Amino acid sequence: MKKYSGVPVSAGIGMGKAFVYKENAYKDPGKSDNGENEQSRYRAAAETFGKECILNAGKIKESAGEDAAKILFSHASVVSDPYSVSNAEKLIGGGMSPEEAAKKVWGDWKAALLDSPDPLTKERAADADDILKGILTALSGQSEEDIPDGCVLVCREFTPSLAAKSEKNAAVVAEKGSSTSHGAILAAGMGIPCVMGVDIGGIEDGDEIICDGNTGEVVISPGDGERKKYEELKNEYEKSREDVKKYAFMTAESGNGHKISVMCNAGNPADIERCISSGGDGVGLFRTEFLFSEREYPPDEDEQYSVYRDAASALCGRELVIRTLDTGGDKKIPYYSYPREDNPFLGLRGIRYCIKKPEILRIQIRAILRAALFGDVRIMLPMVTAEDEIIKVRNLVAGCRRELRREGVKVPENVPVGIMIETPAAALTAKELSRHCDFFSIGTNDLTQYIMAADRGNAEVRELYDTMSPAVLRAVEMTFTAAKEAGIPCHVCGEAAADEELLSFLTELGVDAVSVSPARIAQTKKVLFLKP
Amino acid sequence: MVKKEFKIKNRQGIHMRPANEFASAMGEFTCEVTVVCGDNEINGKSLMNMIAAGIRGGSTVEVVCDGEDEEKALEKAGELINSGFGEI
Repeated sequence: MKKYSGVPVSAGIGMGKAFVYKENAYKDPGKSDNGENEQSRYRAAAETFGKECILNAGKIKESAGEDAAKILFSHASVVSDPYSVSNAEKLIGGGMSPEEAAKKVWGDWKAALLDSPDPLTKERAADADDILKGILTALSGQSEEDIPDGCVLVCREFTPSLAAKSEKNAAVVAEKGSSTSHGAILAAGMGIPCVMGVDIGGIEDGDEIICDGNTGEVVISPGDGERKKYEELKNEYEKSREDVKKYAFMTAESGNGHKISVMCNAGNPADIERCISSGGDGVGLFRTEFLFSEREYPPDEDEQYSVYRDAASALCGRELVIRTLDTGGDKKIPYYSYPREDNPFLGLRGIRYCIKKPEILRIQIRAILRAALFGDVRIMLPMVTAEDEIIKVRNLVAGCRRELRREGVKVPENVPVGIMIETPAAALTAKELSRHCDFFSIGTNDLTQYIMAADRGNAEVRELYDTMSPAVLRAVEMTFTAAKEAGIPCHVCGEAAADEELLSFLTELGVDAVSVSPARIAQTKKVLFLKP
Repeated sequence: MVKKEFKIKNRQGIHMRPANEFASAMGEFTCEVTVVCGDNEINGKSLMNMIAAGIRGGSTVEVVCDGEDEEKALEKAGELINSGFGEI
């Protein structure tokens, strides 16, 4: 028996025989001697792939919805675009093989999309790889293997094309991808349990495999005991799933009638949509790093404004907590400079970085203030350790507001400013910090890591990394006490907030809101409802 | 053949949505539509070519229409570009 642990991206438990999807080994014939013939080979392959996409789009529309189908329709339209066809033909005419030409044309296309300042255009870059793979397969003359019903699909990347053939899979295990990738959205839309970020090298065709999309655990060749345990979990989950759905759009309360908002964590505009459709009471953590990453220059004020504004108006008055850029540590942005640090996690990260580079923060704050007219928008600062940091940012916010007013731009009277409690210092001095804050939000991931001095990703100290340990719980309690004394709300964001044990601890402390991933909203509300 | 210079008014330039709007509108005409931006000659009926050219906001382009309905095509092109594709 082998066990892997990956990122759970689509809930549910699936078990069955592994079907390892092999990407075709392409024979590259090298220099082409028959230009015209080779050009028509490319054209035919593009046409075959385009037709297949349209066919699959029809299929996928039923199971995964309109948006998923749109991805495949747009594949079909770009492969038949005169630009891609004529570019490929030109390259082949110059002596390239159709395979090489396809790689060049679609590689360039990916680069062009990534270069766009528009976030939605940039998001499409992932599609370029899927298209290239499809054309190369069509060129090789092999048709895609059929995926047997009821298997657990094991693949490097769960692409839209693979998804179209996966309706009857028990589960999907993928090496690449995260909860924001197209594949993850598709799997969740189709209701197939899925875990990503798993090293699939050791998995063979026909291996018995269990995929737990709730926890991220993947078990290969389980023993009898293990199998039985998961069969029970699976039955339980499936029974409760129908039951859970009815809780999604209800308002959760703790025993004494205190309302608890169940909000969601969002890393991009698609997550905002998911939050709304899954019954989220707002967005408790809107990470803004996606606006800055995978590009060559920072987003300007207007670009940021349009993203924040769209999110605020989509939420129709529900809370939107925007976290200012959280960079440094392991999250670096290519066009910004960072000092050399021996220990980046104890270095210039979060608000510390932005205070050193106030221009980045100024642009972001101006964009948020402008967008705040469109909903209940709040500003949240990451990685705060000292009072002085909040005072500096507050002064900057006041300055931005004056500036905008002078320019004749409308800005709401009061946009709340709060902080993440994720360092031991912030928890220990929560009382002092609360004087400068409109709210607190406890980030359980980093708080646990810093309190326990244990890296979450380090298997050697994984046992120490425990959000339920007395040290972490005491820090959480101190934060709540300070918030209560100051009369400000205290939220908890981080996946741990969905944990039943922690939830019951938090309700006792009088938590006002928790923020979890969209997939966990209904379950979290159910737990809050059924609490004695 | 008719041609005219335009300034790209929307700040984010020609990204996916404007490119799609422009290329599909030009596809309705029978004439050839070329967008000249610097040294780059872009097929105005190709969504991909328009995006790949990476035309930024604030840059100046020349639209060249050649064929039977060239006048109408140039007029439509100007209308779209000057409206900032609904982004201003």
